[in-house]
Amino acid sequence: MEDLSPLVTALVGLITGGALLQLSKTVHDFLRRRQFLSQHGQSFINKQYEEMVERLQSQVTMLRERTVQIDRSYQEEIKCLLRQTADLRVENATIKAELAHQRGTAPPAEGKEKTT
Amino acid sequence: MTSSGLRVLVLQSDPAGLGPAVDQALKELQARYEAVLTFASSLADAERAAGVFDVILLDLLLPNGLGAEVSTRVSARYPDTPIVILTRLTDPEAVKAAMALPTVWDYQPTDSVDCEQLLRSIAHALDFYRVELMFETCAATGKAATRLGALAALTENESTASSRCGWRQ
Repeated sequence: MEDLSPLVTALVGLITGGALLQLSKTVHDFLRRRQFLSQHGQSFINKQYEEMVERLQSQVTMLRERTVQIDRSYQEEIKCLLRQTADLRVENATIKAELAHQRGTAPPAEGKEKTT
Repeated sequence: MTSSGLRVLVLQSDPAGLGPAVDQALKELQARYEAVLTFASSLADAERAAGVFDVILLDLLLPNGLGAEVSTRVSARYPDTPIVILTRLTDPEAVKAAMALPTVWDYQPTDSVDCEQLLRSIAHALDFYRVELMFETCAATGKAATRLGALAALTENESTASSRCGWRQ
């Protein structure tokens, strides 16, 4: 029995050493995988972010162009309406003057004589 | 218009003989807008008149001026002030020529205008002229948002002007 104890001790040591070696490999593998995921995961997120930023910038540019187009169109429309309003004002005034003239409520000749 | 009230230049050859409707309108202006009326009876008086006015009630039959000549001179003297022609002159061509100026807003024959017509004309002159100026300024500076504001102001002022004059659309 005494002769077997060194053998048992050696066997236990061997098994323990093997288990430790396996554990070490597992830990190493875990760390390697974590590092890989960390690097490539960040890279993936960065890529997604950049694509999103590009898409948004493109949309902003498109919206700006559209705003300018609408603005020009709106500006032209307002100018046109202001012109039409001015024309209508003149027309309205002329009609009122004609009506007043026809009614004979005013002495237009008196005014004209002043300049001639 | 300022907080101290509406400043009106009444440039009429015969300020005392404008008739009851115009007299009433002027009284209403004083009552509703705390208007300060400055009377002038000739172009020389108008050109000498000190200060700034919000609106001018202009006669086209002045002792030393007639028709478009009057509006041109007054418009040159007060280039930023809207003008409402209030006159006994009824020559359509002369009125048309006078109305061609951008600051001349409306024409009212003195003998047939009524109080509300004149008040409405003045209110519109003030409101629309201001909006036109706003639009021109914004168009020059390219501020789209402010232009939208101008349009909103236009709509708002339309109703404001109408309500101020008791005018129902």
